[in-house]
Amino acid sequence: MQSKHLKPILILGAIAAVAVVLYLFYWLIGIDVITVGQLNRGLFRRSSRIVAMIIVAITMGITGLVFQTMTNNRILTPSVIGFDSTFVLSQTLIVFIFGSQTVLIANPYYNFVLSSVVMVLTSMLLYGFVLRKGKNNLALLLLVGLVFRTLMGSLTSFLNRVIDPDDFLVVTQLAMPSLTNMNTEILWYIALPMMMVALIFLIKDLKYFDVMNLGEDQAKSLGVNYLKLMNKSLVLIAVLISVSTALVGPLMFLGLISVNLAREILKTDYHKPLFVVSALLGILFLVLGQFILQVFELNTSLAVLINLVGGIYMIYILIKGDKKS
Amino acid sequence: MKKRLVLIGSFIVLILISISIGVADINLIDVLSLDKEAWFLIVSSRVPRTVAIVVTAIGLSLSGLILQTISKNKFISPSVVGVTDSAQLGLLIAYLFFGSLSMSMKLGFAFVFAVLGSFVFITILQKIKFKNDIYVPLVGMMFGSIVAAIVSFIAFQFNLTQFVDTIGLGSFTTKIAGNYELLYVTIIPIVLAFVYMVQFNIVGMGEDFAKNLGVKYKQTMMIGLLIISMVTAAIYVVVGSIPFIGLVVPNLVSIYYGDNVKKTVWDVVLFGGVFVLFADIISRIIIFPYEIPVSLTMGVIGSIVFLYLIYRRVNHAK
Repeated sequence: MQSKHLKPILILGAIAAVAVVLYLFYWLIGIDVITVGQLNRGLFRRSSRIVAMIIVAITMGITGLVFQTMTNNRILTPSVIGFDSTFVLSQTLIVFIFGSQTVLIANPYYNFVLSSVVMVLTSMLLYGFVLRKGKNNLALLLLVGLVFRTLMGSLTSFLNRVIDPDDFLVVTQLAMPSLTNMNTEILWYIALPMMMVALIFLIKDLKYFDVMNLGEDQAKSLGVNYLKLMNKSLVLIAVLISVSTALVGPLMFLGLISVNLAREILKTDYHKPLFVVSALLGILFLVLGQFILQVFELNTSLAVLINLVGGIYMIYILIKGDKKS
Repeated sequence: MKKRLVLIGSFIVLILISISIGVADINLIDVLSLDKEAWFLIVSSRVPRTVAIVVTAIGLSLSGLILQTISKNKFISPSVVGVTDSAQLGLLIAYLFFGSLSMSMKLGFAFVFAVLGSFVFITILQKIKFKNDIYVPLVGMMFGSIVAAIVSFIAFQFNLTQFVDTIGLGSFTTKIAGNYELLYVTIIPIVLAFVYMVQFNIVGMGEDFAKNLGVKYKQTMMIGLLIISMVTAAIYVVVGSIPFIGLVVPNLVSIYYGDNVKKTVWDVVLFGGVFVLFADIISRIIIFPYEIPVSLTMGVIGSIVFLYLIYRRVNHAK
């Protein structure tokens, strides 16, 4: 990490830390008396939400970044081409096959692990094929992603139509977490450790991704095992996306905005500083978004707000024109 | 020509099947002996449904073809680039300000917003410096999701999420006499589309080229967008949103029949009809006597067909 990247990282880190602390404690303002129990409960609730948001921000940042290098473009992220819809479909499929009464579904841990496994397998099968065959064919990738999103959406509602009504309730509960209604059950014992493990693997590989930026042939001749790296990262991306989708539901644009803004701020192609800044930006967006919703008393979900802002920002980027992509 | 005969043949067969399928039993003898009850059923329920299907199929595949021709990009359709979402926004706003409205008022709102949506999309498109196969659909998707985000924003704010969910799902189930006639407003734009097809193709080649050939660029573009908006809005209001027809049908036809839109426009229309009739028949028989909304069947069949096409293309390119 060069020293010129240190300054923005420190500034953003400080802002994000302030935002997090504010989020944790601002509700205490104006309360005169509070019991220890209330304080503990409030802090625990808020801290688990903050941890979930940090997980999501980190996940979206790193998957977006790595995926952009793998596909050699700046406008696609796993969420844009339908990874998260794959996860929602896997969940529905499992309930459809096994019914809602089995331990597999009732226990959030089993359920999450099973959905993640199905998700990793399907995304390996689908996207792995496209990435290997249609390398350098962005149009193809985008098109397939577009079709996948509709296919997954249709299949999910299709299954919801034919599914047992009792099971349907379970599915809607499972598949409907959002930033305001997080699925914190799985947070501490499975989402957090899984993210950490996947993250460590990916961070270790970030230096190879720097080399990958030079192009496939260059990277190969410099000793990067291109195919292996691609496959490995694809699995890790699928795992990370399933963690984030299980926690807060699909988030289409968060990774896109934070990674692109990070590039704008740092003006570098090195992955490590980009990753740190995009994760910090993601945290900032999520926490600030919550504030905005509460201050203006909007009923809407944060995901909608992010989609609105993110979509407009992306169109702005595309209109402005971009040399690299 | 032989291929087209096959298409016409299957079109007619599917229409007959579509008329003959239903929960109530109608047999051929009743029909031929002019049994009153059987004919009443056919005229008030079966025929309207089939007509609705055919009009929808023709309208959506044509508007897909027009949009793909004037923007010279094979990967877009009105539902991909946010025209359908804009129509939905129009309906939502109409509901918000005026409560329940007559069908034609709803159509008016949906149409105005669809026009606005398609113009905004085309304007953004013309502003983009690096236009290529990917950017065009991507911009459309982005624009579509912005409009969709506005829709859910409003819906959340005014507690209308259920309303939004129910208006969107495309289905022909309730299309009986008295309920589908509004679809006839699409006939004039459909005829216009046939008349202007060649001009649209020329417009797709770019402003300078079109002017050289004596085609009024802006005016033709405008006509194209108005046709698309009218057809999309009417179908959205009456039937709901049905994915993929506009995207898949023109692509499939261009693989087998080439890109001469003056000739292939008929094949597009016929093929669209066959495709939607088939999907609707499937969604009627799969959990008979109940039905699945055709938009879901269409989504599944359409995407599988499309993925196969892509797969074929990749394998050929190897």
